[in-house]
Amino acid sequence: MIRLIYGRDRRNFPREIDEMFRLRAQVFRDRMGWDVVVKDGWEIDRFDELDPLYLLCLDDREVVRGCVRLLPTTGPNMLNDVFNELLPGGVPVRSALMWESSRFSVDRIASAERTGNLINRVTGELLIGIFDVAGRAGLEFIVSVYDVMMGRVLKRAGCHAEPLGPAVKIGKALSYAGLFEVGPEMMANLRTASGITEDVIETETARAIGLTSEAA
Amino acid sequence: MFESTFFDVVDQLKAKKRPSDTFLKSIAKRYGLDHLVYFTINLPLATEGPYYATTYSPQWVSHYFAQNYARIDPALHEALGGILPVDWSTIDKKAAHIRRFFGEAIDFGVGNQGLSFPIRGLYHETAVFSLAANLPDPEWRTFALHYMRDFQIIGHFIHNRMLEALGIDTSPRSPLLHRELECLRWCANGKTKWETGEILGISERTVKFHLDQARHKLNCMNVTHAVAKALAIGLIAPE
Repeated sequence: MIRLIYGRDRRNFPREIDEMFRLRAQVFRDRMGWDVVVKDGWEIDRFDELDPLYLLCLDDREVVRGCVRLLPTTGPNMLNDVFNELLPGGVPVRSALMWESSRFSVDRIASAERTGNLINRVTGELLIGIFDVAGRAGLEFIVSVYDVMMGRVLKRAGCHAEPLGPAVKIGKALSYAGLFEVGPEMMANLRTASGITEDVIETETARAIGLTSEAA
Repeated sequence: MFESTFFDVVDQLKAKKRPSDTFLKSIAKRYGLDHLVYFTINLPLATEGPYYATTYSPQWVSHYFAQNYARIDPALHEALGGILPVDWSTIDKKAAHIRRFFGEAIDFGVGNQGLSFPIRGLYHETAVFSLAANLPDPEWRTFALHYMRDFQIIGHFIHNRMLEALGIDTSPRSPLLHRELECLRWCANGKTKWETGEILGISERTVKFHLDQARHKLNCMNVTHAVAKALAIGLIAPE
């Protein structure tokens, strides 16, 4: 299940937020070897101060097993402001119809859980969550920095990525700026690859932040 | 509806720099909406403010300010600091003062349905673009989903117009790239996105992306508008 939390509402969800920033430290510092700052166990950066939208994947006991951060590309964001060497000519990419996804994290145990050929449940829920929310907001694209390992996961997830520029080594692996198209095709691919057929976004939190329900 | 609406809107903008109430009224009319309102509080370099443009009746505007409704308006509060469009129908109206606020809004002709779009800008500024209509729930849901994309663009378009009117650069360090110009050129020559992709050896998806980037950099409402503007200012040459 995906819980939607805005940065501005952080103090209303202290447990979830704490687990999220710890998970990010585990994934980005420990596993991927990125040069991220970890303070008191939290991996938190300046983009967390910009009221992003967090998608948190909770298990049956409501423990945070995965997370991702979304920011509009019309405002400051990581790809344009930090990783623009991944873009042709370093020229920023911006559009009202495009958000940036960053800090995609899945905990170690969850990423090892697999049923048959399906991708793991947490990755599936997070990806479906991103494209569901983006679709309801009327967007056309998601952009994101991903490395070769994540690239393999995305490929198995049916989440087609189009590299926008050159590959650059970040942390331990080569990374790309990838373009993803929002739409029914993407949703169908993700559902097939994950075996998830039901809605993943928690109804109450979606309603609490005013998200339009899908047409009946 | 989408194309012709945009063309009409584009024509009007040649004459006006700053989005006016009349301009908003014309967009509202073309989409069959009752009202539109644009509001921003923290534009860079702006000393006066807040800036707003609206089609609401002067009576509702003065009542809203007199009652200090900006303090309780749940759509406004939900949109500020958010990134997702706020559908007014999802707002909890159990509290008496919120119920009264929406009741009065309907009495003043605002409409029973609405969407509020948060806008985030490069200079950390925020704005809110809202639209309101009188529609039963099922029709409203279909309408909202169908035109969500249009309204995302219109909101940012109005916002960027406001910045331009104040002399603020809306796409600094962002020249049009060679590929974006190529896509515009093929589009001007009547090629589809798929055909352009075949010609340039890139995917249709990437063509769509390049055209959207060009549209954004030229602050246009859609790709057709961007092609027209690129031709008009000589970025691409006519056949």
